[in-house]
Amino acid sequence: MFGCFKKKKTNKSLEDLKKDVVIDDHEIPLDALFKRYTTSEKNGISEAEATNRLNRDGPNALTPPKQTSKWIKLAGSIFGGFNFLLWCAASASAVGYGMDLSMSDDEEVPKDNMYMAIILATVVTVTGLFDFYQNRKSGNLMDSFANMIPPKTLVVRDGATREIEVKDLVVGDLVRFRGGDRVPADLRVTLARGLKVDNSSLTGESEPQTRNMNCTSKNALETKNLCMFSTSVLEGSGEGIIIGTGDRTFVGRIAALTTQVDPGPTPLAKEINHFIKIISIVAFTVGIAFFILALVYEYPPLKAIVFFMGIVVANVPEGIVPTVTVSLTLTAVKMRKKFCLVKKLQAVETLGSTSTICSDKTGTLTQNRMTVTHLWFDGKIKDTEILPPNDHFKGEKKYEKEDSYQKLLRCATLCSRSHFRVPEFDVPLAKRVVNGDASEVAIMRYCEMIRGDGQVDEFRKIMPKIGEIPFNSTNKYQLSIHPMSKKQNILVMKGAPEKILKLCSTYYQNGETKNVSKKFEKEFQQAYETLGSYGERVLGFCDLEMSTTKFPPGFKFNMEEPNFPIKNLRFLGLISMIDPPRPGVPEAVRVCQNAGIRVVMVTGDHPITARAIANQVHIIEENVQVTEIVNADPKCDPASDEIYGKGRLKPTGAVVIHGEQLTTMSPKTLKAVVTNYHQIVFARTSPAQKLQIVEAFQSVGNIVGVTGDGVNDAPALRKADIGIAMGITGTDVSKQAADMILLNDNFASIVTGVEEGRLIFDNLKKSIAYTLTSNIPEITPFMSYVLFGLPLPMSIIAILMIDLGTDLWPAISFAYEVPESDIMQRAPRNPLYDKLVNKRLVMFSYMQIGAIQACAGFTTYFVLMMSNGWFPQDLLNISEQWDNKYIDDLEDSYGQQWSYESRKALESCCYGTFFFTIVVTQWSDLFASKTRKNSLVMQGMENHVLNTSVIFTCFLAIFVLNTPFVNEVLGVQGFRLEIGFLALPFAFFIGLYDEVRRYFIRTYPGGYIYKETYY
Amino acid sequence: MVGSNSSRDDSQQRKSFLDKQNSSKTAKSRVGSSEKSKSSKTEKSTQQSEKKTERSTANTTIKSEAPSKKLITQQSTASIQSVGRRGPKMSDGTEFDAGPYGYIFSFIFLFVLWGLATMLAIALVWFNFSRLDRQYPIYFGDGSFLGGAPKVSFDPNPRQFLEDGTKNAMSWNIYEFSTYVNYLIRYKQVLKKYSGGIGKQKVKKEEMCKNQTMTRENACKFDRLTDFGECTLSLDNLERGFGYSKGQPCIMLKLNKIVGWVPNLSPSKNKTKCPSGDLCCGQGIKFKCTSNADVKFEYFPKTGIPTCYFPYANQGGYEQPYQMVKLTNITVNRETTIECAPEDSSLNTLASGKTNEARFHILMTKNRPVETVG
Repeated sequence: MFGCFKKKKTNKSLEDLKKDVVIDDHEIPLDALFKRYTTSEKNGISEAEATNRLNRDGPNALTPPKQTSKWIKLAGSIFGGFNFLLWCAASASAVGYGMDLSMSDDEEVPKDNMYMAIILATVVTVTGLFDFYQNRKSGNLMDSFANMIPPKTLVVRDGATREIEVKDLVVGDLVRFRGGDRVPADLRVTLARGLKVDNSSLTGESEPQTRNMNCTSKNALETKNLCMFSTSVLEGSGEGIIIGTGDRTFVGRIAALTTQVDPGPTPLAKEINHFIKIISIVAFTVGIAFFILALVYEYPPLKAIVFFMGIVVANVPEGIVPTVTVSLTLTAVKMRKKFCLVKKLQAVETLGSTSTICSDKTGTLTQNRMTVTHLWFDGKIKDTEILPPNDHFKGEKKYEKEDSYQKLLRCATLCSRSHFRVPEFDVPLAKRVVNGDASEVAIMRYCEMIRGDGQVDEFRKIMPKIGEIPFNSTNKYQLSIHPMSKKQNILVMKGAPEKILKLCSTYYQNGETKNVSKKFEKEFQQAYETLGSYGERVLGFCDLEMSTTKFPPGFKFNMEEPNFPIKNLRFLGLISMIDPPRPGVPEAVRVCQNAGIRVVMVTGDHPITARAIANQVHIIEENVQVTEIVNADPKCDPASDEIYGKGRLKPTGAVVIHGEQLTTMSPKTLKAVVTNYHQIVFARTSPAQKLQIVEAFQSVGNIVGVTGDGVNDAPALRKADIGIAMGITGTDVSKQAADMILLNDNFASIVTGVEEGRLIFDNLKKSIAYTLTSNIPEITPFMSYVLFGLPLPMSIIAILMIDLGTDLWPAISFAYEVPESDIMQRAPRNPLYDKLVNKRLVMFSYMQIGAIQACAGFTTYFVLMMSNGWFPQDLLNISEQWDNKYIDDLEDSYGQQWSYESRKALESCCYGTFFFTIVVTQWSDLFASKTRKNSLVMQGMENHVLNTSVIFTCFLAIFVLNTPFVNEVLGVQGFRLEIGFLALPFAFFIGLYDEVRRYFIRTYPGGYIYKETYY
Repeated sequence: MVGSNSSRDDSQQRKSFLDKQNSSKTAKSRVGSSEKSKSSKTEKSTQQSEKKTERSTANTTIKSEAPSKKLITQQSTASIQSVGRRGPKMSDGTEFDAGPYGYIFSFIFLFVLWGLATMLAIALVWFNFSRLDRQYPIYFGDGSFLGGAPKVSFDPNPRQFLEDGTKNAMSWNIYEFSTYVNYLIRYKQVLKKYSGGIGKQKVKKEEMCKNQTMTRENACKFDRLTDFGECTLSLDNLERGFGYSKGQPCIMLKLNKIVGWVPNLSPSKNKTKCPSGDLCCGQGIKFKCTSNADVKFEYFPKTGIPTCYFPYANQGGYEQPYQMVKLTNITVNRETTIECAPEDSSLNTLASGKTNEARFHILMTKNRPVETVG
């Protein structure tokens, strides 16, 4: 029985890691613990034994999460996605050029294919490197968070105390620690001297936790005789025996759970992959179809390859990848200015798709600072002045003139053990360092705010403390004695309100001291309950002006065995305090709700406090009936599935669930809760339960965002579609597991992320709609070449000039588009239906705008041909002779005879004309795609990057067409301007059509035009 | 043994202590059985427990006192409020459901849109078409893609027949008619473009160019029977093999037709006296051919293409002038490259800067077919 070691677990499954740890190291007697780990209370273990255990268990360090090799990421950026298609096209170009070389030994070989292969390979490589650079740049931000383990600690081995590296600790070691240290491993306390630890990073409990040698709970996280790895020691000192190291600690299990939980692809990544699949299928299907068709028409294989290559290149929207990257990067920069640090670029868009946010309470919705909020004196509950979190108090002092208030304030000022560490009056009061526990710190700040900077210390100097009985759990009060004047002393006391009242025989009200009556007791009880319902912590205050005859100046008070009265005191009032909501959080929650996002509170705090805060920040609306699942209900069997509206799941809008009840709740019941209730609070939750909650929301189709700051939040942060860590109070593990970090720990910053995320999706849709449009005018020339035998109106290089040249900047410029006016009034995006590319977008881009552009292209093509002597009817089925380079006397409609070179020169002018026509109509499409619903007038022209891109595109087109060497390499020639003007009517037609279309969408939502064209 | 007993006694004492606390708590605050594990918590826990107890009691009282109707009303109100505060619902795609016949309207919509775009395109093309002159394109001559200098071309061009291979080569066997029949067919096709070329065709009334000046509207006949010697393009000569059967083929050399182009020849030193009225007399456009072998060239007519056949203006019945070159002394079984270019400097270079020449290859063989005895 004794002396056995726990078996080392191997091959831990995910389900095992999800379960809470069940250990008994905190329940067994210390002697049994010593025997179990073969250690000693005073001497620790031997050095040799420590070495053996270190070799057996490994170092006291967390296993780092697996990271993808950067070379694999680089390869993915260059060869993945659409780049794969472009590499196919480049290979086909190279093959075509090789075939040309092999078939024509003597004559000069056209270098078009060689140029195209080089251009394609270069552009794809540059694009891939750009994408890789952007992602890598963001990923490097986490390097500074790598080290989270305290470096050294004191350990006793062979009876000698020494300082060693924390990673060398083993189970059974006797370690010593004190205030300011971090706990080096999971350990059981064997000696405690005023020991208090901060477990907020682990459990979310914001109050310092007393630690001693007593086992107070079966729950390892609750009992007082255990200290957990990586928590902070705030006060006192202690010793303990290590019971877990490295990955076997609570934090280690959470970290392992974090690394094993697969976050899955982000919604944006899913959409991009979906989009790539669609376009790839279309490209290869059409390409292969035309390849076969070309062979059927008895074109040579080289020509067939050219057709295939042209179709593929034309279908690939090369601009979409840099648009995504620039859009996400730009948004990350914008959000960085608003205190949102984006670690994973794609997570920004995920936030825009979020339909549920599971938010922590302490530090996220609240300020993580106990603050005095209410007073009760003179028979009334009164609000206190609000302490500005980031500024000096400049407001009006409400109750300064009231005598009862002054006495209450005096008692609060004197009866305290907290003090400001150093006078730093230039620092805002809320941020000054105050020693003491949370309650006393809150009262101290309040008193300083009312009295003025430094006046509390001055007041205490006038009335110095003579004696003190500190707070303890037996008495439930603390008292101190101060000289009120040279002749008289005063006793001040504070503590649990009901305890204080029992010790009082009189109370002070409206300037008079009255005897306690039943009426007063009733009022007190009512006030106490009211303040309690706010979820606030309430303290009672009383005093006693001592008799001058019995306790003259110089009287020696005995604090151990009081020789002064502790009864018949005078009750002064109540002071209540709570961790208040952050400024802006209620409005932020309201904005989220208007945007269709449900905000859910998931906290380790008490249900009453949680509910009170939820009411204040509108997570639970006022006057809404709340179903409470806090206590076990004997009528219900928790293990069975429960249905909404029956049993414990009452048909109300809000629900508060205790973590203990969540433990026994069946998965189906939890699913019913998250489906039907829309104002939800989970209180007293454990780390595994938070993950359980996230998975429940995800299982019903929600896109879940989770906020958290503790190590316990790491699995949920990783599992969530977007994990949001706190930048100030968050632990390194939570920051590592999260996708985004709020640098100011403010929930309101999430709203910025939601808006930016939705904007990303909107802008990506617009960019895709714009980019896909040019595919049709790029494909139809090849179709006409094969089907109708027309001379080729467009070359592949011209297509590349559009996709990689003139279309690239405008496509990317959509990332800078301002939001439409209703972006935060829309419902969250349903990933099942609201795809990045849907049928209507394809129809709009391809069959509507694209078709108009194709008409424009062929119009200019035919007019150019007519101007040079080729009528449309004479162009049919002439491509075979046209491309025969040995026919130098092909006759046109006027009987003129054209040589091969002159025909090719005219054809290159056709390329240029068609190219320019697409550029002009794409300008119109660019402005048409600025909005999906609003009019262009409503949207405005604030996107200067987009406006500049039009100018750039114009100059680029002119440069490409008219620069001597450039147009020779690219195979185009300039044309006369009057032919280019033929594109303008079609550009106008596109703009007019789209404006009318959007008018109908706005006027008749749900109408036919809306169903047909709204993408 | 003693130590073990001592440990057990301590355990029992602790249990007793817990029981006492539990009893005390139960008596004072009526904490339920679930609170046993929390009995030793600090003051905060105690306060919270008491709050819970009081709250639970208060809730129970309120519920027991309220009539059932009020409860129902409150629940309804809460439900309405709850629904109203949910914000916009997530889309499930139903608002885009156009019904089973929705695709019909989609097609109609597309056809209307395409119709409008197509009509706009046709209108623009027709408008530009209607502006065109019947005889002159908008862009021609110098500065256009066709250029200001006509390209030299030749017939018969073997690539016209898309034969196998990529080289521009004429190959034939003088003893096999089938090897050069395509070239003769090509000549027949060319002959169709000239008046009197086919016996059945009715002779037009146009005069010869030497007797009538060519105008913009009317063309004149090309004199293809004078001064061409053995290379006269006629059915009789084609029937006789047109030189291919003898190993001395005739190749037609000509300049591409360009609307409005007029030759601008350099003045010739040797002025020939011309009878009055003969507009085609004088030096014309001459070609000079070279080869990479010892091939002899004989030109018909020797004076070249007369300038009286220009300019071309898409006149009806226009007959393109040409010059014939007869190839002799061709080396058998050797591929010979022949290049023919105009002699005049104004025609030497094309607008693209390249040499204005026609290049082709010939490969002549003399393989007698093996005759079967018997």
